Amino acid sequence: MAVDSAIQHWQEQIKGALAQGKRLRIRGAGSKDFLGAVGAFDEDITTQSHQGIIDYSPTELVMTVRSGTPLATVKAVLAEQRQFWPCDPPTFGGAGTIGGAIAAGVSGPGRVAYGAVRDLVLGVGVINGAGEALKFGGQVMKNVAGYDVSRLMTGSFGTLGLITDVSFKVLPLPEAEVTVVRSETLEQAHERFLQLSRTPLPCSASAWFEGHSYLRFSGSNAGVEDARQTIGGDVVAAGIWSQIRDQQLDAFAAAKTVWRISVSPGSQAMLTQSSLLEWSGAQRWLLDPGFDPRSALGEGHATLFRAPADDQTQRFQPLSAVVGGIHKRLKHQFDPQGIFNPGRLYQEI
Amino acid sequence: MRLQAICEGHSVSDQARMKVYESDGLTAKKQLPWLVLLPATIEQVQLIMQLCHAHQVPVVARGAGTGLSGGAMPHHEGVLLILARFNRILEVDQVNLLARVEPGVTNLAISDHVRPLGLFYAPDPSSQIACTIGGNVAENSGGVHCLKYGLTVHNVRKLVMISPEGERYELGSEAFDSAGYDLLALMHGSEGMLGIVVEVTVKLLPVPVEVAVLLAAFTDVGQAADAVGQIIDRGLIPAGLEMMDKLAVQAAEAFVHADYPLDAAAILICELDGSSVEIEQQQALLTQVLQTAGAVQVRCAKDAEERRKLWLGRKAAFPAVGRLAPDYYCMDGTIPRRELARVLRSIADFSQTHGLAVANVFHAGDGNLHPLILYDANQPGQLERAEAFGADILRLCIACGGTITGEHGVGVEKINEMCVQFTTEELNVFHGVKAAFDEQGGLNPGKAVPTLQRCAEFGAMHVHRGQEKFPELERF
Repeated sequence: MAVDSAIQHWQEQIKGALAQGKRLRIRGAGSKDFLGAVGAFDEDITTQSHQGIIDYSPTELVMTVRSGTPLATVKAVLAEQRQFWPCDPPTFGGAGTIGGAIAAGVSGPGRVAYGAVRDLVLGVGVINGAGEALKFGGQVMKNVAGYDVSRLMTGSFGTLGLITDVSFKVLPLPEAEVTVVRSETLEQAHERFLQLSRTPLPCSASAWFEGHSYLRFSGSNAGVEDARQTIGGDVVAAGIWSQIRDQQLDAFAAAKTVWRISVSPGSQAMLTQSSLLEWSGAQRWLLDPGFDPRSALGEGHATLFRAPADDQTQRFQPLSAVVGGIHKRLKHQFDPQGIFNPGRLYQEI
Repeated sequence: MRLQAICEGHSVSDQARMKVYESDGLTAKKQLPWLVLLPATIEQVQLIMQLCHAHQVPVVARGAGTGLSGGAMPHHEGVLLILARFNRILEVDQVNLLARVEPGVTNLAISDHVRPLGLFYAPDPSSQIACTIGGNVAENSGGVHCLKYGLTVHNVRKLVMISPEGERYELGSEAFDSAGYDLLALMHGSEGMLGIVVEVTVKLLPVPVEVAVLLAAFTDVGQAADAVGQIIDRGLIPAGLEMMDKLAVQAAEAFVHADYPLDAAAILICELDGSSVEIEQQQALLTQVLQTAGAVQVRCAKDAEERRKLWLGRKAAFPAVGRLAPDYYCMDGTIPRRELARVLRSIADFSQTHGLAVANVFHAGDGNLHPLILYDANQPGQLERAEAFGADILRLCIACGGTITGEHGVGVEKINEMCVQFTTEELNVFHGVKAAFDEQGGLNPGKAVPTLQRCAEFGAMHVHRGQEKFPELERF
C-alpha cells in the first residue's frame, strides 16, 4: 500500500514545525479565513492541491474524496449521477474545499430536512499533532467501533488535526423541487414555518428576509405538486437558496458585523432583530446589531460570524467550565504541542 | 454503608440477588458486581460518582441490560449503576418537536407517549419494548428505519451528563447545534466510557400520512442482495429495507405466522412512507425494480394489520431463531452494500467449515448484517466454534471495507477485533479521548477499546489492512 506522497509531505512539515516550535494554520482555498478568531500562526499548511475523488459508487450513497477537492467538483460529479450532498455547505466567493467544509461544519439551507454536515460524515483520515496519519469511521452508514472521531473533527476548525480525506453520505437528487415566495412579516413567516414543521409536507428549506418568506419543497413529482397547491405562493427560481447560503444578499454585503444566532425554532430570542431567518427559525442572522446578543439569548448560542479584524469580541460562544475543561484536554491529546490553528476556535485551544 | 444509604434502600449486595445483574443481553459473558445501585435522582448519581471517584471504585452504568456485546457486564470490584428508575417523560415541546426524558425511559415508550399528538421518535431498535434511551445513546442504536431517519446520534438534541467526578454538565442544546467541539456526537456510541447520561432531549417527527409495506420473495440470495443496490440506484430511499434468509424466514413464520413465503431463499421487507400520492408513485416504481431484479413474488400489505404482521416477523426474528437451537450468537458487522452477495456466500462457507448453522437477518439498506450462529453451549466445544465462526465473519467485514460493529457496540465481545480494525496509533487516540473525559479510568473499565498489551497478545500475527509488518520476511 503506497503512502500518499501528500501525506508524507504534510508529515514532514508537521515534524519540522514540532522541532522548530512553529504554529501552523491549516488552510484549503481560504474561503473561510474570516470565520473564527485570527489566531496566531507562523506558517500555512495547505490542502488545496490535494484533490481528487478516491471512491464513489452511487448505489452505496457514499463518496470518499481528498480534502483539497473543491466543493464545486464534488457537486458536479454527484450531479452527473443525479445525486447530491444535501447538507449543502456555503461556498463563500464561489470557492471552498471539502476539507474546509468539514472543519468548519457550517451547513446550508437544507439542514433541517437532510441533516447537518456532521450528520453526513462517515469517516475521516487525519494527521494529528504528533504527525501520525490516522483513519476513523469508514464508508459504511452504521459504525460504532471506537469513538466517533469523524464527527468530533467536524466543526473543530482544524484545531485537532489536518483532515487528509473524508467519506460522507450522499442522497439521490429529488425528482422534483419548487420554491415559492410570498410577501409577509417576519412574525407571520415564523408562525408559518413552525406550523409547517408539524406537517409531513416535504419542505426542504425555509427563509425570510426583507418582507418575503421563501419555502422549498423537494420530493416526488406528485408530492411536491401537492405541497405547492396546499401552501400556495408564487413560484420563483431556486437560485435564491445559493444567495442566502453564500451570504450574497445586498444587506450582508453592506454589513460590518454579522452575528449568527442558533436557537430552538420557536424561540423568541433575537427574533424581531433578525435580518434573515432560516431553518424554520432555528438559524437567525443579525446585521450590525450594535450590541452583544449573547447576554439575552437563554438557550442556544451566538457566533460573531463576520467582524472587522480589530474587533476583540470572542467569535464563538464561551463554554461552561466543565465542557471547556474537556475541550482543553481533548486538544492536548490530539495536538499536545498546540501547533494546529491555535486560538482560532477558543483562546485556550 | 454510605453508597447504599444514598439510594435509600434501592441497592443489592448479596450474591444470590445480584445474580440477575451478572450479564447484559450477551449472556455468554458473566460477572457479579461488587454492588448494585439503583438511584432515582441526579443528585444521587452525583453523590455516587463523587464517592466512587474518591475511593477509585469502578462504575459500570446500564439501563435495561439488553445490550448484545457485554458493554454493561459488571466489574467484580465495581458498582453497577442501573438507571432504570429514571423512567419519566419530563416534557413534550410541541412547538420545537422535542421530548425531554430520563435515560431509563424505554425507546418505545417515547413514541407511544407522543403518538396521540401525531408525532413519533424515529430510531426503533428491535428491542425497543425493553431497551432504554440512555442505552440507545451509549450504543448509538439504529433500528429498521435508519436508512431514511438516521441513528440515535441524528435524533438526539441534548444530553445532561454527570462526569466521573460527579459534576453535572450539558452537551448540545434545544438549538440545532452548539459552540465548540461536537461532544454530543462523540458521546453517542461511547458505551458508557465517557460519562453518565442522566437526561436526554430527543427530536420528534410528524407521523407520515401513509405507509406501505412490501414483501418480495427471491429464489436466490444473491439476487435479493443485488436488488437492494438497484432500489437505491433508482433514487428510492425506503423508510426501511430489511432482508431475511430462508432459515430466518422459516423460524419467524413458525413463531409469529406472518404469512411469509416458506420456499423463498430470501425475502426483502420494504417500507415506504409519505403522502398518498407519493406512496402510490413510489410503490409502482419499487414493484417494477423488485420484479426486474428477479423477485418471484411481490406483495403489498393490504392494511395496518398485515403491515404489523410483516414487521412483527422481522422484529421477532431473534427470539424466533432462538427456538431453533439452545443458544445463538448474534453478530453485527456492517459492509458496503455492493459486497452483500459475496459476504453471504462466504458466511455460508464458514457455516460448513465450523459445522454450525446460521440464520441471516439484516438491515439490508444499511449493509448492517446480523448473522445468528446457532449452537448448544452444553455441547463441549460448540461455544468456542461459534466464537471462531463469529470472528471469521468480523474479519471478513473488515476486509470488505466494513466495520466489526454497526450498532451493538464493542463491549467485551469484539474487543480483540478492535486490534484488527485499528492501528496502535489510532487505538492510542481512543485512549486519549477516554482520558480527556475520565482521567482516572473508573468508567466501565476494560470495555470498548483494547489496551495495547492485549492487542500484542491477541494479534501477534494479525495482518492489518492487507499490510503485514516486515513483508519481506518469510513466514511458515
